[in-house]
Amino acid sequence: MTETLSHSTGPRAAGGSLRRLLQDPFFVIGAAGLSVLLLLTLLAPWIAPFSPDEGDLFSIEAPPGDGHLLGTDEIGRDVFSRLLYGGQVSVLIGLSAVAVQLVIGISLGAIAGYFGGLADAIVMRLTEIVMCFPFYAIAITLAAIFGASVWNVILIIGILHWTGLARLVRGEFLSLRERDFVRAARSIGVSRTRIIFRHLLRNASGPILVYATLAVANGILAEAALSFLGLGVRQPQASWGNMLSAAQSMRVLSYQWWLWIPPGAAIVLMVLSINFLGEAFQRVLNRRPAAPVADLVSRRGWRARLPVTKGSENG
Amino acid sequence: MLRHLLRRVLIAIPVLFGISLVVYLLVNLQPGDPFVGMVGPETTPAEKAELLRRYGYDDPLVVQYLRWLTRALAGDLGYSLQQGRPVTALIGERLGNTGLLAGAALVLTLVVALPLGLFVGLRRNGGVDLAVSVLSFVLVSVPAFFLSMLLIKVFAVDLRLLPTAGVTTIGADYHGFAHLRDVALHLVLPASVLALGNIAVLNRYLRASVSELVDQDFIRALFGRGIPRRRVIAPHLLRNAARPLITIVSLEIPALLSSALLTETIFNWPGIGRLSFEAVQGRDYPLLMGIVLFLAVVTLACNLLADVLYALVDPRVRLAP
Repeated sequence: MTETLSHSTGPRAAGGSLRRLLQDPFFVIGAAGLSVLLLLTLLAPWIAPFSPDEGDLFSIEAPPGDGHLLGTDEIGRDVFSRLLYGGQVSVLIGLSAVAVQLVIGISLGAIAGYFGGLADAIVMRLTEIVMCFPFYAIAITLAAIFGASVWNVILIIGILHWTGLARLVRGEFLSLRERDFVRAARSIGVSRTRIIFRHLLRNASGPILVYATLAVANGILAEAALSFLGLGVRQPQASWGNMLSAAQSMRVLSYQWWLWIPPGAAIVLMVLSINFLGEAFQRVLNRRPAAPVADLVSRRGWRARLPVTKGSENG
Repeated sequence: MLRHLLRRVLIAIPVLFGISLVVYLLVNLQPGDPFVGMVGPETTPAEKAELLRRYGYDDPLVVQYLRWLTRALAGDLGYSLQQGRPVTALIGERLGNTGLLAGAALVLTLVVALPLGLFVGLRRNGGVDLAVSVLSFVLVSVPAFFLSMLLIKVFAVDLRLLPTAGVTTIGADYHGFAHLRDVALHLVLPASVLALGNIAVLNRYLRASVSELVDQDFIRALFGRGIPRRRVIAPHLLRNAARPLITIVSLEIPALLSSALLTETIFNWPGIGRLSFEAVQGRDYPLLMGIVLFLAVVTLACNLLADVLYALVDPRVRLAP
């Protein structure tokens, strides 16, 4: 019973984690960048100088200046205002898609990891099936069948990206469930639900938080790509991805930088900030050296096979 | 070894079955019937219903699925709605181009990431390590299509150094060496975009594995005996770091095929990715499903290959129960 918890996310450790987070340069840079971007998009109704949907027919494709901070698009809408409102959509999709992943991934991962046996085999085969479909190929197929809309994009990203989370939760559960404190809890008759939520899930919360953070970044990237292809958020609603699709025209790409550089830069800054946050969480909460790239690695299944990090997937 | 191999194959069978089921259900979810675009306008609805019945369209779903599966196993994935040609033929035509692009990207990735990963792994926390780290973060945060557009703007539009679309210059009739040079020039931008993201990932992996190896006792012991650095690094450290690489490369192939979709679409590269985007735009579901099935099976095969290769190079895996 003298065993220490591997992930110090309990209430007693929270103070220490916070202090160490605040000393981490990755956290400071990431949190600062994210706060600025989030504030700008959330305060869009007060900051945006124009309506995002109203075109000014007297200034079409106008370069920046003359009242329009970032110029106007092909039907005279203010690019800066659309950028602010578009950010809301991109962030909403990133967060909601992760919520879907959390629900599916944690439930299935918990079932597989706690019960093992047949349940584990079925869940793992299901995970492998979903992982065999290359993301963009199946995503555009689903978008083509079910139509392009904000909610479909959220569901598509959520349904295709939960596999990594399920494997992560399963791995954590497998290693945690045989630990002394869980055995002790079981032996004194603590209920199954209480063990799952109170003991297992809570101790796995560090890796889950790290994964979820990085998944928001991946969700924003996926939304941008789908909307760019015309299979995500549809006009007239603005999203950073569909603003970028303007640059599919060579004329815009060559001469009208204000139509595509700002949304692209916004995505990069947002995703970079979130990735920095994820790296900081990883260092402080999990005490394992890893990065968003490690997340990519685990999604491709490398970490399941290779001892890249002191793995959480060694059952 | 044989038992390990057999186990992996047995596990792959239900996965393959699941993949086919998902693809088949998606085929069935699509609106319209298979004769849309195939029969002429003079066909009456009654005649069409008769045709549908004769081809088994009214049979139970399970029967239809088994029939489809039998045909798919024999390599018949149906016909493209838009072009009226067999799906397998269309995929076959484009496969070479995707292979060329993915192969070039893979070579580029290895050429850059291997020395770089070894270097930063041996000199952890140095200036180069920090710079590479930050750059890796930026690279995985830039959407591939945005990076493509930036590169097109700089290298094609502003500097006029490289072509932006297709495999060869349209209208030009190059032969021999001139043709190779033309194709190579067209490859530079799309292959670089594909490679850059992978370089960040592979470099990170190598850095971790090299720096872990440096701390291992057997390497420290070699250094401790005063054996020259280069005689430790090449034969001992590199050999152990390179062992899982063959596995990584086989897992890299499906990842490349997946990300090639966006790259091919942007650079107008006539490969499988571009073909699937065209299929979406034309609502050509049989073609789309054929491509999805093909890519999923390739992914499964590569995963299986990775498992086998990993067990071959690392006895711990195959000896584990």
